[in-house]
Parts: sequence; C-alpha cells; structure tokens
Amino acid sequence: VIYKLSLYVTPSAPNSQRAISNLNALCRENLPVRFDVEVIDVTKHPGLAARDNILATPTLVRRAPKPIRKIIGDLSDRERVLLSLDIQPNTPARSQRP
Amino acid sequence: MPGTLTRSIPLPAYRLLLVEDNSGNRDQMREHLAAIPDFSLTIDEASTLRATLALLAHQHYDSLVIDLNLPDSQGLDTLKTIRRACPDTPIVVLSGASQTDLQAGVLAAGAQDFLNRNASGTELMARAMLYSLERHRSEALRRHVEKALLESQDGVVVTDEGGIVLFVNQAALTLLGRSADEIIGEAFGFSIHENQTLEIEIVHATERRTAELRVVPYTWNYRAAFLATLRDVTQHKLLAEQLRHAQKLEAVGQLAGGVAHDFNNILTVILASAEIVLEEMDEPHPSRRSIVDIQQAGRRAAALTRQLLTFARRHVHAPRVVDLNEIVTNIHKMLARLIGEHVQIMLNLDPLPTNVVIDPDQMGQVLTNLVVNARDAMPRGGTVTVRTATTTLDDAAAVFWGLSAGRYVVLSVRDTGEGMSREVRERAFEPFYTTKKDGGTGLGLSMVHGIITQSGGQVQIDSEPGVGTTFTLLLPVAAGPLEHLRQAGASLDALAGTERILLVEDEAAVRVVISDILKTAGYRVESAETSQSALDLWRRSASPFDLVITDVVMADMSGFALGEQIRAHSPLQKIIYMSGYSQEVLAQHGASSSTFTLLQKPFTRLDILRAVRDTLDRQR
Repeated sequence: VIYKLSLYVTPSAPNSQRAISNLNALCRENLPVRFDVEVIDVTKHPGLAARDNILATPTLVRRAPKPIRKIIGDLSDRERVLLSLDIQPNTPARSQRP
Repeated sequence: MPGTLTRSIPLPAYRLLLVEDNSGNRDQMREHLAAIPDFSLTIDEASTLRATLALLAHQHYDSLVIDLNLPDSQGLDTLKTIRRACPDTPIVVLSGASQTDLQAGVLAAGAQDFLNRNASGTELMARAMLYSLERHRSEALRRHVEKALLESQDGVVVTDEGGIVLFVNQAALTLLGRSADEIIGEAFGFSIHENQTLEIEIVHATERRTAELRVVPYTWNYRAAFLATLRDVTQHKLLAEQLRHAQKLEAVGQLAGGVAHDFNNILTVILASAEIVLEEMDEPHPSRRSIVDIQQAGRRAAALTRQLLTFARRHVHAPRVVDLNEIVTNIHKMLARLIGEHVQIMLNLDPLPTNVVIDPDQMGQVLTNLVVNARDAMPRGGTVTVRTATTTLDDAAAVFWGLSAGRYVVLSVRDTGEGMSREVRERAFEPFYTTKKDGGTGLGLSMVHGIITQSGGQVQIDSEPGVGTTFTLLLPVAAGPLEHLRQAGASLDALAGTERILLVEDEAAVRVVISDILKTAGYRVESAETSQSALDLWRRSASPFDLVITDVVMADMSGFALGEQIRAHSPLQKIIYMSGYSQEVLAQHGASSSTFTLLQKPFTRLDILRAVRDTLDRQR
C-alpha cells in the first residue's frame, strides 16, 4: 500500500517549515512504508487548496488509501500523526537483536 | 413553622421549598425525599401562600414542590402567584385524584411537572420529582454552555475522535471565512499535543491571518471528542513585529549616534584648522586648492554625521509651530527641479492650515528625501502626489500607529513606481540599507524616520510591487500659534571682543583650535583639560571670567555638573556648552534648552564666534 500525502503550507510561516521537516523525518523513520508526498504552497496554488477544502496551513492530507483524512498542525506529535494516518509505528531495527 | 433538614452527601445539593398545608402529607413527603440516596437536600416548609411568598422574598430555591390548595389560595391562582414571585425556579405541582383535569392548565402556567400523589406511591413520586429537577438543571447548564460556546470571542470547533466536525461557533466561522455548511461534517485531525498552542495560517482569508490553535479532549453528547479553540493573533503578531523593528532601529541608532559624536570632535579640528590655515595663507599659495578640498570634504563628512545624528535622534533641532502646507508650497519649485522632467509632481493640500511642531529645515529634508526616493522608484517616469490632510486617530487606529489617540496632520507622498517587496519595506528605515544601484547612502529614509519620530509622529509604508509606494506620515496637530523665522546673524568683523573666557575641553586638538579662534578674534582665553582643573582655575581667578565655554561629555565630571557648581557660587556666570549630542541627551541632565547656549559640534569659526558674541551681549 502506498500512502499518498499532500502537505499544504505557507512557506514563509515557521510552523509550515516545521511541518515540512517533521513530515520528512516521519517518512524517513518509517521507511518500509511507501510514501508519495507532495508539498503545496497555498499562496501559489489556491485552487488546489480549495479542491481539498483546506482551512489553514499547515494541513496534511492523506489522499490514499481512502478515506481522505486531514491533520491540521505542525505534525510535532509524531504518534498522533501516525495514528491519524493509520500507520503502525515502525520499530527501530537495532532493537531487534538476534 | 418551616423547618429544615440537611443530609450530608456532597453532590448534587438542592434547596427545596415544600408548600403543603396538610402536615401529614408534608411529613410523608419529607421522609421520602430524605431517603433518596443520590441528593443532598435542604428542605424548607410553608403551609400558606403568604408564608411561601415571605420565604421566596429572602431565599433562593432550586425548586418548589407545591400543593395548589392552601388555606389562603386555591387552584391555579396559587401556582400563578408563586410563578410571578420566582419566574425561573422549577415548580412541581402535587395533586390529588380529583385534580387530574388540571394538568394541562398547570403546565401552561409554567410548572415543571405535575405529579398525582395518589396514582404513584409517594416514594416513587419523590424520586420522579427529583429527577425531573435534575433534568431541568442539566438542561439549563447545557443552554448556558452552548450559549458561551456560541458567543465566545475565540473560535471553537468540536470534532469527534475521528476528526469529523460536530460543532463550530460563529467566531470560528468568521475567522475561517466559511459558512457552517462548509465545515460541519468535514474531517480535521489536529496533530498537536494537548496544552500546546500552535500558530496556523488561515487559507481562505483575503489578507494573511494567523490564529493560535489549542486542542483539548472533550465530551460531546456523551462521546469522546476534541475541542479546538482558535484565537486570531494577527494584530498581536503585527504589533510584536513593529516593536521588534523599533527596538532594532533604536539599537542601530545608539551605535550610529556614538560614532557620530566622536567623529564630530575630529571634524571640528579638521574644519577649524583648515579655516585657520587658509586665512594665514597668501592668496596665490600652491597648496591653497588642497586646503579648500580638505574643507569641502570635511563639510561633506559633517553633513553625513548630521544625518546619522538625526537618525539617532541626537541631533540638536529647533522645532516650532509651522504650517505643513506652507513648507510643501515653499519647496515645491525646488522639488520639481530636483525630480526632472519625466516625473510630475502633484500637490493635493488641505485647504485648512496643517500646523505641527517640527524643525522646518528638517521637515524640508524629510520631504526632499521622500520625493527623491519616489523619483528613483520611477525610472520610466510617473507621478508623485504630495497630500496633506487632518485626521483623528481613535483608540484602535492609535494602537495600529503606535501613537496616542488624538488629532494628527497627515502627509503622504505617493509614487506610481516599482513598489517594494516585503523584505525591502521592512528594512527601508534601517541606516545604510539601500537598494539604489548607484549606491545611495542608505540614510535618507532613516533620517525621515528619525525626524518624524523625534517630532512625536510616525511613518508607515504601503507598497505593492508594480503599483507604487505611499509613505504616510502622521504628526500631532500643534496647539500653539504659528512662529516666524529668526533673522540670521552678523558678519565676522562684528564678532570680535576682548572679554575673558575660560575654555574647558578634554580633547587637546579641539581645545587648541577653539582657543586659537577665540584668541585671533581678540578674546583673552584660559584653557583647562578637566572639569576639576577648570573649577580650580575659576575659583582661584583674581578677576571673574566673562564667559565659560565647556564641553558636555568629559571623563571626570560632565560639563553640566561643572556648570552647576560654578552657578552655585555665581548664578549669573554666562556659560556655553559644546556637544556632539543633542537636547534630548542634555534634557536628561535636567536642563532645558532655553536656559543655556548649546553649540553643536562640528562648528565653524563663524558659529563659535557668533555664539560667544550673542551670549556675552545678552542681558540677563
């Protein structure tokens, strides 16, 4: 299963910048899961924001798998984000010693 | 006689009034109520309408249980009279079998419930009655909470655990720029920790708005939910940004002011020495040209430090009441010449006087800088519009401008040029910041900012790339009448004298130059390099000094402290202070500019001789 994610941001806002780096880290840390991520600047693409009925930035949209889910915030609460996206938190490899 | 009985279970607690003339029924009712385990009750009793009204006048009850037939009142009238006495208190009516036909009338008259004392057992009835009261209380609470949520100034959004929006209040809709239909039923999770706030940017808004978001777990309709509050912090952030900007300018200003002060001491020596050398040189001397160059370069440097001091708000200025319209009209021709033919200048002046308190020369500089700036923004030509008007700032507008509420004169300079980016706009007033390719000094707008804020006003920039820029200045409306310009002074010859002068200056080079100037003009000069030695000299002197000239900033004792000590002995001693700083700094020493002469460094020979002569000739 591929997670298709859209992150709507206002690039000049610090919280949006934090959301981008939090999302990057989150994808990296859960690598066996496959992500397809796009970051959308709402100031340049108001049409896309309207399509997804985005109220505020930063907002993360899970486009696939269905149903669509939205998360407002800077994604700092990693566990809650994973829960909302319905992704099982990845156990770090080094803790699984033979 | 009404009595009370209290049970000690903490919650929920009620105070009831039992209105019943039959003491047997009353006791039975009390017994059953007291036996119910879930409530803490205080029960008062009344057996007549009169006693009931007397109690209601002094005591609040959560509920009344009444029998309609009392010795002094019968049927629905009993209910109606009591209802009027306590319009918001739930009332339960107890009835006998013969009164069941009254039910509709009783409920219509505002009773909460109508219980037949014979149909159900008294115990069941008491229970039913209490639960009906609890329902009433919950309902009232629910209404209050809902009202509070609906009317809250903060936006409130309630979602279920899955993020589906269940409730949204008006403040949230206004902030988000949506209707309830667009939001209720939508799915929004919130990825922040509890008790943490997060700033979010509202997408729908026409201008950029920032809200502070906070999420707490909540219960909605008996199910787990989240309650998110949204607070509009756009204005708050804007003010914080303005404050930060002002502080930055202040810090740079202090630095610039300090450098300029030292620089002025050096320039005083250069300019005055050049002047002396030039005077002693024969007309055809080969080095004469070089000395003139030194003088000119020195003057340019002096002009630059003056600009720096203006920005740092340490420049000595001479504010008076002037009509801004008059200043604009006076320099209009000069401005038109300055901006060239491809740029048009339009005046749109308030027909009424626009009196403000400002140094007219500085105001002229402000206008010149703004108009030149406008010209440089329109390389392909355009129009500069200078407008004056008068306006009143209310409290909200005053906060926005960082001024106090009141009447202000507005001066705006608008161009149809390239406009500024946000970044340029934010840094426009910073000294040495310039976007001019041929290298402006970066001091023009810093000076504008310095002069206007020093005069109690404010300046703001509105700009849009490609459309143009408007500088808007606000200056407080002047209370006093217009003043007129002082006439300029006399020629060099009239400035000579033979009076005895004590000169105090800790910079050796400056001291020597000033001393030379004064001696050349015929004055008898004695010099001191510290305040203490000056004080000793002044005290020991056999004959009094006609004048003391002292630097203000000195290592051992400030010129003002020296002046005070001298005046303590001789209040009429004439004193001239010299400084690279301004009245603002001097005012901190408790002096006002009207009580002494202040000579601003760097000064020319003419400046100091004129100040000396003026002071000596002044009648005290």
